[in-house]
Amino acid sequence: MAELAPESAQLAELSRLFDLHADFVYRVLLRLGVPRADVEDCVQDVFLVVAHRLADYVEKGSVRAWLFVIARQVALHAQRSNRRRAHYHLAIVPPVPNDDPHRELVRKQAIELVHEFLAELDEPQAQAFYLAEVEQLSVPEIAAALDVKLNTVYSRLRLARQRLALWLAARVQDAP
Amino acid sequence: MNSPSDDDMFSRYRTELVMDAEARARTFCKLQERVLRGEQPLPEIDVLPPQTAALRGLWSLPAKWVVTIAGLGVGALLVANVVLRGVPLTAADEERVLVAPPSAAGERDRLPSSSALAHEVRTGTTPGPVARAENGGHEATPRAQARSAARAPRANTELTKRTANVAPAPGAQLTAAMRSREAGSPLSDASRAQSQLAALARPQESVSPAGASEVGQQPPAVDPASQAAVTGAAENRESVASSQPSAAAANAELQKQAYVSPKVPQRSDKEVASETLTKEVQLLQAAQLALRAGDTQRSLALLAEHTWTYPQGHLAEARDVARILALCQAGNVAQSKLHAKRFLQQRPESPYALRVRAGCAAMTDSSAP
Repeated sequence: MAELAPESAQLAELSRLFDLHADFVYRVLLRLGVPRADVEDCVQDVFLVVAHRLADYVEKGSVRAWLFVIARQVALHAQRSNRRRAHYHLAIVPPVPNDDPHRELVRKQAIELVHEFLAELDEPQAQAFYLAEVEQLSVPEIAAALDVKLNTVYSRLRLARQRLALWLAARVQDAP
Repeated sequence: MNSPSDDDMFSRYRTELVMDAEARARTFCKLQERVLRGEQPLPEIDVLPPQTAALRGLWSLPAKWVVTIAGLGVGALLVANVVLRGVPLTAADEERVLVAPPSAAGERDRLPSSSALAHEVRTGTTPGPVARAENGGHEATPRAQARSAARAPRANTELTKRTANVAPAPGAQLTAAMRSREAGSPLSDASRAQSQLAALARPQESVSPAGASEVGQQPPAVDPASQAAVTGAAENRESVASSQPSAAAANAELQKQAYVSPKVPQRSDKEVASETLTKEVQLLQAAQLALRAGDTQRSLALLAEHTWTYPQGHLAEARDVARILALCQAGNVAQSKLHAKRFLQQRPESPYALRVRAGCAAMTDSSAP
């Protein structure tokens, strides 16, 4: 790798970014409605864009905001092509479950809990809240990723947190 | 189900929902293959990095169009301005024209009567404008009339605004005539001058009563001889007024012909000269009245107007003298001396020479206590 200087440098940088953000891209793609069977390909597509534009990238803006925007485009494109080959997806089986059933149950609950709450919110609120609370992006990053004003993000987050408090209180009441 | 704390809930989600190691490795391997193969991303998913996007956003499509259109518009305006109006006069040009008296004194066709008329204007014993106009018209040489006929409209074009307070209508008509000239009308120079003069003629006639009233409002300190002259002028004016309808009809005819053929029948030289002279006299008279009323600024403005409109007019000499005196009276002694010096250099034998020397010196003496 070391002898191919420009390409190896590019691949090293790509590898670094992939290690850091692959999970983020994966979650975002799932959240944006990409079927599990296609997520891996879509992650590749996202990082292909990153590899293509690596020369243009200056380490100043937020990578994750950029990745989110690419992922959104990829998800959009995947949905369009999925509609064209819907019959093809019927044949694909869901991913193999974990060996440990209890571990798998805990995992499933943790994921579904968040999905359940996010389903309570409006989509714009849910997006802002997801990026802030789950992915822990900063507010300027979210504003860049969603292409909205800073104050809009703050307002959406405030409303979503109010809803969260109510939702949690309701669950505590239901639980006993 | 135990009550979840929100922090716990989201961090668990984050740690649980990840690609497993196998899928990660597989995905990166495939990605590496695609990159090494030189595969390009699809155009619809090719999103620019944030910094680059911001930079390119500056030169986005709307901005590009706005800048281009604004640039073209400004360029077109500049070109149109230069082509249609020539290089615009700057403040310095205006100053030069206003201050400098016409220098081509040698070329001037002086009329035998012009200095006498000017003298009358200066001393205030002015007969009616029409009487003088006819007098001047008779004695004007054809060459001088042709020159003044050609000159007057051209000078007027630069002064349409200035002349507006004396004769608004001719100014407006001249502007129209000027526009038609600028728009490249196919008429020859001679026919253009003629048509402009024809346009000037009618408002001129409507203005002459105003001149008459001005004469009538002269200050009471006028000697009986001038009173007689005024009444004589009034009679003369009546006779001219009776000939005005026919003159107007002739003008209309002339104007029509000016647009039909480039060969336009000449207006009589006498008419043209008399009009020019009448206007000159009115202007100078107004300046004199303003000076006597103590309004030196207005007087100087009217004289400047005369300089613009009739730089080589019949009453140029009288106007220069009046300006020298007005400047004296305004307290602008240095300027007055400068003008007086220039005047005496250009016209040492002028009948005004004595007056200029003595008058300004007397003024300066009186102004310096």
